[in-house]
Amino acid sequence: MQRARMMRTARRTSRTWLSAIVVLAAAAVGCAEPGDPHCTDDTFAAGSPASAHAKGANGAASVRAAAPDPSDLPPSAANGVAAPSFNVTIAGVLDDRVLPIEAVHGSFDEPIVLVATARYVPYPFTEPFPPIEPPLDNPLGPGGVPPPSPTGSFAPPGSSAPPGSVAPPGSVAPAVASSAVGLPLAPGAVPSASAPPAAPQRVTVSISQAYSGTEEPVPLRLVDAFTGRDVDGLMMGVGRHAYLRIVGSGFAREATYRASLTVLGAEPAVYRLRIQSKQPYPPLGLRASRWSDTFADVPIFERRQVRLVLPVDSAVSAPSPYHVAVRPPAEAVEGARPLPACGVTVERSSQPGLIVVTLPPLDPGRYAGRLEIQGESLDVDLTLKNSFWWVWLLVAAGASLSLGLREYVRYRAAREAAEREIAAKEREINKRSDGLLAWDEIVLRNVLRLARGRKSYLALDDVAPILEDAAPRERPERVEIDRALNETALPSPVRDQIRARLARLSYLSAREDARALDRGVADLAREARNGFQGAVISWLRKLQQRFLLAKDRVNAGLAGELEGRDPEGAKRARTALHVTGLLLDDALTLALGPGLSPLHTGMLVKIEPALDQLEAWVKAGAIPDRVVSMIHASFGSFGPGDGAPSSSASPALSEPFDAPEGLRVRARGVGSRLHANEEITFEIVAAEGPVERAASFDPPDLPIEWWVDERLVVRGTARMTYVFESAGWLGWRRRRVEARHAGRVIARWHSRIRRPELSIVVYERAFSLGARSAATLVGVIVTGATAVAFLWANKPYGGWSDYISAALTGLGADLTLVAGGGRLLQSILQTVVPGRREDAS
Amino acid sequence: MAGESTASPERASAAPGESHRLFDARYRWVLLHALKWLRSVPDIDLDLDEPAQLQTAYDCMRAFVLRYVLEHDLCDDLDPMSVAAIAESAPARATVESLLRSEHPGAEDAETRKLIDDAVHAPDPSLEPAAIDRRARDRRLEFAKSFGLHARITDVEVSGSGLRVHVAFDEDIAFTPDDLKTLEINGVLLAGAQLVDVHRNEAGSPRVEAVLVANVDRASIETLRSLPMRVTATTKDDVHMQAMKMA
Repeated sequence: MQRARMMRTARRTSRTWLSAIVVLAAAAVGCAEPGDPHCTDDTFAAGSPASAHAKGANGAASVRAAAPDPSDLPPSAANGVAAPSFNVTIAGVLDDRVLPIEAVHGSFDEPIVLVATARYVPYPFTEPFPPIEPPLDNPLGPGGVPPPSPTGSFAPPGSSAPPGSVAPPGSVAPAVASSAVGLPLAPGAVPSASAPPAAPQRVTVSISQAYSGTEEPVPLRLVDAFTGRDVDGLMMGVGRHAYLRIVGSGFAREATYRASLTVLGAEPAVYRLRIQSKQPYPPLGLRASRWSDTFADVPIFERRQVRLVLPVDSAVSAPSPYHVAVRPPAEAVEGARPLPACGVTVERSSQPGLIVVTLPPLDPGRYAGRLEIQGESLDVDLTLKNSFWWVWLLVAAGASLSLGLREYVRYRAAREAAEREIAAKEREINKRSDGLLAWDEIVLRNVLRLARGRKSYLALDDVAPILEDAAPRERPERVEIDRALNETALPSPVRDQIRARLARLSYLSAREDARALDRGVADLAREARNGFQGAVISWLRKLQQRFLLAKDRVNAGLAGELEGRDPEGAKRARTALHVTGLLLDDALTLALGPGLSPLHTGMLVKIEPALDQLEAWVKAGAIPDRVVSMIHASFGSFGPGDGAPSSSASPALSEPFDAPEGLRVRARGVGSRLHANEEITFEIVAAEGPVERAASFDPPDLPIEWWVDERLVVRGTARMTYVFESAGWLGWRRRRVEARHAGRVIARWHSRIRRPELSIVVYERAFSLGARSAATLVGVIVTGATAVAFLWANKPYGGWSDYISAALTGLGADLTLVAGGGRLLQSILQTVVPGRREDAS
Repeated sequence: MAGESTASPERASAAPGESHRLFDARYRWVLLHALKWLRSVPDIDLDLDEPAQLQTAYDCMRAFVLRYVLEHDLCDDLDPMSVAAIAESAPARATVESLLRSEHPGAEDAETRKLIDDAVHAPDPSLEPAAIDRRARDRRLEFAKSFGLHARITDVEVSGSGLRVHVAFDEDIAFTPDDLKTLEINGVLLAGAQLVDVHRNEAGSPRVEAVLVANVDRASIETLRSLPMRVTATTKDDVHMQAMKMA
């Protein structure tokens, strides 16, 4: 504001200086006086308001050179200085100076007539008459130039002075500046006939902006009634009329706007404009009054934007987008939601005569409301819902969920039951593991691993029949063997030999050795039933051969020098051989008959070292008196026997052997490839040659410990048959099999195995599952049709409640129709057909 | 068949007197061992280094023992050590010595039978059953020292504190608690092992059950559970005992 004031001051200063320069210039060109009215300036001849204004101002300046131009003064100063000497009123205005105006479709153009009347002075005059100003030489304006149009005063078409003409000095001024025809005088006005003709004076008019109190003010204009140019002042004289129009646009609300019109007359005249705005938006002429539609293609879990193309009468009468107001419906609709207050747009279509009504994305549901488009009502009743097949899908999802849950619960329960059975079998095996042969135990453990591997969904029913094979094998032969070994009087070499055989059999741990194990155990049991007679006789035969050889060697030794040198010793040696021969014959007799006694076997074991000692004596050439003990069957002092630990103990009790380097493990499965849940035989093979054809390694010492994935599986021989429970996730797990002896890894295998091969049972079970799913699907079809009828038809379907309802419908259908119906059918069948119950039991 | 084959030969159905062959097969080695005392008799004209004279002495001893066994009905309870005890009794020695001093030693004539009958029926403290049992036990111990003793492991108890091994013997070697000198299990000498209990079953089999206790570390216990167990024990009388248990 301060800057504007400074600019105004600067402009005023420049004008003062410009006037001074013009006066000086006029004096210089020969003008009599600077204020000579006859002195014209072509510069002000232009018809522009600015020039007229400048000219007027110049004229005024010429008349009142000492007085400043009122227009140059601030409004406050101008209000008190430039008032004309007559009154100016608006014709037809009420006494309260309220001018009612109606604005339709947002604008109005109201004509008004200004009437200038002489100022009424009551008698006795308390005030002097206003000075009678001399008539103007040019009533139309200074310099003979008619006042410009923007001033609002002009010569009417019937006047003697056409616009633009210069009235001669002393001519009678027209009664009405703009039009005096038919215009009644204002009340109280002095008749023009008795009133002295008034000189035109400038009447300033102004109009404020229109206010409604809540919105932006609406600008109003005063325009010339004929030219339409803006007007801010008029040249009027008493008895003259002026025709103006008040123009305003932009009334966007139905409301009452207020403004003020100020006419700067001799008396204050401020009119209040009361603008009543009605139907602020221009109507489009909607050709429909109701929009009722159903959209059944709303995507699930999403919203949908709906549109309406509506024909209208005059789509171009208003700028697009059009004004839209959302109103509640005229009549309440049950279950309907109101239209969203925001987001509704109405635009002109690309095709003429059409508009596009667009609603914001809406959730499924029913919507009711009323749209006012440019003031015209459009009732809306919309239903949005998902496609009907979503109902099917949700019902199917619910049924599938129910089926899946039931199957999962059944599956988990069956797994638990299967695992309980497996664990029970495992405990039984653990209890009896001390009495089990290695192969029998690994067979049982393989069965358990196979059962655990079959705990999958499609193979779970195989667990029970598989576990039937997990019964620990009873081997009464082994009991016989153990009892015979413990209770039969056997020479310690024979006992150790039999134990070694049994130990080797007990360590067999591969499928390939199963037959040899059965045969070997049967042979040992048969021998045990005979008191190991064969083994004892065989040993005695060997001892007898050993005796005969020793006898020959002793006799040969005695036949030489020794007999001559020590005949007594030689005789004793021969007698000792004779007694030994008798004892061997006795032992054979007993072995073939009732059997040996424990101490007798001890004596027989001492015979061989006694023979060795006798040979040594003969070889040394001296037979000591100690040979007499042989004659009396006292062999206890000859060498080691049962009294000392035997060197021919079982392989398990001997010293660990040094395994050669580079031993490998060869794996062979049932087929060409290694699969889980199948027997795989691992075998230690030599380091030379391809592993497939390499020679088997026969360890001199047992047992060989087989470790699978860092877990001890069995103490067995060089071969082990193992069943992997699983192949790991997608068969990517690498399995590690190690053969250890005395805590040292002597060979290892590290590779992957394939997943179990699918058996025909699995395929059959898959088809069975598919059939059951199909049965569920049939139930879903029936239930889905019902659900569509109840949930979808003629209803706004959508939203979580509807989705959950559909899913629960499917779930309930599965439970009632499939599960419950199946049980009901089963019970009915069992009731109707007695045989089925017995079969089931 | 199993019972017949595993029964002691002395309990066979065949009576000793029915077949000298079977008797000889069973007890020759015992009787020969019992004839060793003849070598210390000075005035007997017998060369036991000659097989024929040794056989003569053996026949005399056999005749007395057979007659004594039959007269006293000891066939069912006969065992080599009992035979040895009878053969080493004073009447047996006197009878054999008298027979060998006779004109026709070894002949089965009436005089010989009368001499044997008198000796068999003559009361003598050395032929009392208790005396026979005592001498049999002593002889059994003597043979056990020489030949060792076979036993069987009937039970193995594994606990956190150690190992209890139950062993059974068919020969009563007069084990007593605290009689254990050394104990080896699978070749490992275990210090602090004890023979804590002995049960005797005089009439049946096994004759003796003993309990051996040893402290074994926890790692070895698992190995013992899965491997064959071989137990070698030595008593304070230097009797070696061996027992074995399969896995």
